[in-house]
Amino acid sequence: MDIEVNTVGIDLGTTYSCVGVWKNDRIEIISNEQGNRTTPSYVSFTDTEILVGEVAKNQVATNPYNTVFDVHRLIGRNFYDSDFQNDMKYWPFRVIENNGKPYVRARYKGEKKDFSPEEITSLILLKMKDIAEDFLGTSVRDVVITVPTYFNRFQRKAIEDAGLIAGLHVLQTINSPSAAAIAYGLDRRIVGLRNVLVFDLGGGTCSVSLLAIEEGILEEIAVAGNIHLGGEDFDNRLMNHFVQEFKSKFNRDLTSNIRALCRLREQCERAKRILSASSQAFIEIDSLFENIDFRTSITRTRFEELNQDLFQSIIEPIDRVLRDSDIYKSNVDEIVLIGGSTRIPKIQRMISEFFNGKELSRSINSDEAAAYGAAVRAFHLTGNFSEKIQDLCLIEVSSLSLGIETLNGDMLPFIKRNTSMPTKKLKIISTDFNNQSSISIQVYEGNNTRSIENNFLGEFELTGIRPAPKGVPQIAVTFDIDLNGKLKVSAVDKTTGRMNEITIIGGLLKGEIERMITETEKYREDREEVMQKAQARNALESYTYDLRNVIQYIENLKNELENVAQDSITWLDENQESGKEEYEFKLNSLEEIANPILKKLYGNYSDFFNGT
Amino acid sequence: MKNTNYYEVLGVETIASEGEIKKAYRKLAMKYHPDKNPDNEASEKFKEISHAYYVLSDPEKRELYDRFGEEGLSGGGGTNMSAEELFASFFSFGGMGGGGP
Repeated sequence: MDIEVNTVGIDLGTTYSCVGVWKNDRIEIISNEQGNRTTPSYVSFTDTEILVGEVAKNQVATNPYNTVFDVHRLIGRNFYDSDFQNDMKYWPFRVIENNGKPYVRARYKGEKKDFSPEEITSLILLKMKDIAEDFLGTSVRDVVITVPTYFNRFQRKAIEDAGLIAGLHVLQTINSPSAAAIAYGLDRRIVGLRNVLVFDLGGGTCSVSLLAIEEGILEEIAVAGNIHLGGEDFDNRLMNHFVQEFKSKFNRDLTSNIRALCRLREQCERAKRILSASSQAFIEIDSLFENIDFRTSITRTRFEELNQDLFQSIIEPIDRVLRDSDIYKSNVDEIVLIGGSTRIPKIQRMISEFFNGKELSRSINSDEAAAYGAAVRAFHLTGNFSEKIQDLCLIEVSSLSLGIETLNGDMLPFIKRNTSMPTKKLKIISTDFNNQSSISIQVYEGNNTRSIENNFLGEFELTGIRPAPKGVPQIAVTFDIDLNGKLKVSAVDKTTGRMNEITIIGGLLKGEIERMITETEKYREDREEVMQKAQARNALESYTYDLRNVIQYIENLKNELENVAQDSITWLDENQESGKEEYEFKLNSLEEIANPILKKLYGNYSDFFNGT
Repeated sequence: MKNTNYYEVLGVETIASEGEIKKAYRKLAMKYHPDKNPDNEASEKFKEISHAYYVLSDPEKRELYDRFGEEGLSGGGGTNMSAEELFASFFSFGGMGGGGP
């Protein structure tokens, strides 16, 4: 049965993205135009167009200020956050503040232009959409996109907004480990209830999830993660190491040269990958800085030492999901690793050792599992059914607590982390002062005990409380997350029946999204224009060169004719008195050779012009 | 939250074991989860079920619920006091630490 498919799953990563689709009763992971099944999450702005993917990543060293990566570390973030300020030091591109949010400032078509993280993300999504559409030959609309488990509501909303800007309808954002678990569960007929721990360590984030899987029912028991830990951080450690080495060897500081840093970063990423298979990696960069050739090497042991504390920190979220779920290490049936950084032998060893030497499941493709699962989910959510997909049911939990701020600045959680969704939680609160007539409900999201360290979602006021001693009025506050994940907080005064509520939306304003959609369309037109220009030039070029070839061909034929004519003249000179038959025979032979050549000379040369 | 009898919500006896409660929860959760039953009513039911499970699967909360009912868990107090703290101060429970509402 062939169904018109226009739903895809996209694993949107900090450094690489991957797209999958349900086709011919199975999932296909789609290759990009270069034949690779993952595409760099890079966007490069040039004087003529916007490049995305492989071509953009190749621009890093030549166009460092206008090539953007790591957008996962920008989206939904606060510019003034100290972590964020620290991240900025590693980016060659320029980040500016816009209403407290980080924006990228790049030169595009010779002009300075500011791009929101949502727009940059939308360009990556658009690229993945294009890859899928090229493969399917139909347009793609519905999509499931993976996110790191510790993404907060605003970050998830920002991803949805990016989808909208790219002309996609985001059916769901799904935690990347859950997506991988779907892929894992689909390939095996799981008998009985299995506790599966999925550990995802990619380019920028670490996500951990413990799921109970039973015949197509996937229940997240607990999730945890670190929004800021991944391959990029390991690359940065290597970078710092080599910058120091360069300094001590040549007494030069190459950090002043962005281009040199970008070239070094490329080599660091390469060396890191090599060290997953070899015990030593070599680095050779010609005239890296002030014409100095940099040749050096690094051992796996040294690499592990440089990242020791980072590697150590992967255990924390694993430990946390076990504690939160009340499941002993020994009751974890399977450990599934996904994400490129889980190829690092030391990380595999540490996880295995943490589980007392338990063997890790290697049966799943660590680069593609999340996109695979997201594609299954997308197929399922659009109401499709296949014999191969068991009746899928994914019970997700909230990764971050939701609550209100108390008088002393603590967070009073209503929906605690790891609560199954949808959910509704009610608590009775009261006044803090005598005769207090109104109460302010400030809604926060996060796992810190102090609300200020959490993400502020919104606030509202409940007024008209009748005068009473503190603690007497009863205000029923309800947190309600509906089946679409939308959060509504309401407060009702039990005495007067007065109520107020807030629906947390977040994200970009509708007008902003519309503006960005229009601009994205313009970028596409720019790109189309550049492509058409290139095509037109190609056509002219190839016609010109074909013409040259034809001339050469004619030249060759003429030379051939010249030769046979010359031979004939020579023969005539030497044979003044031959017989009739002999002359006739000679003429025939000459015609036999010359006529086909003449035919060729006066024939048409369309064969030369490939299709033009 | 219409039905405040959590045992009834899960359809188990008040003396049900942890295992029985878990089994009952899973069975009902699968029935009413939006993936299986994408209407609003079902998802309201799911919320009830998962809340009942949340309380009854935790021995401390279950005891509090058994003694004082729903009130025991959603209790009053100023914004700076959680229900457990409040009840702890009313009834001077021992061993109330850990696991807020």
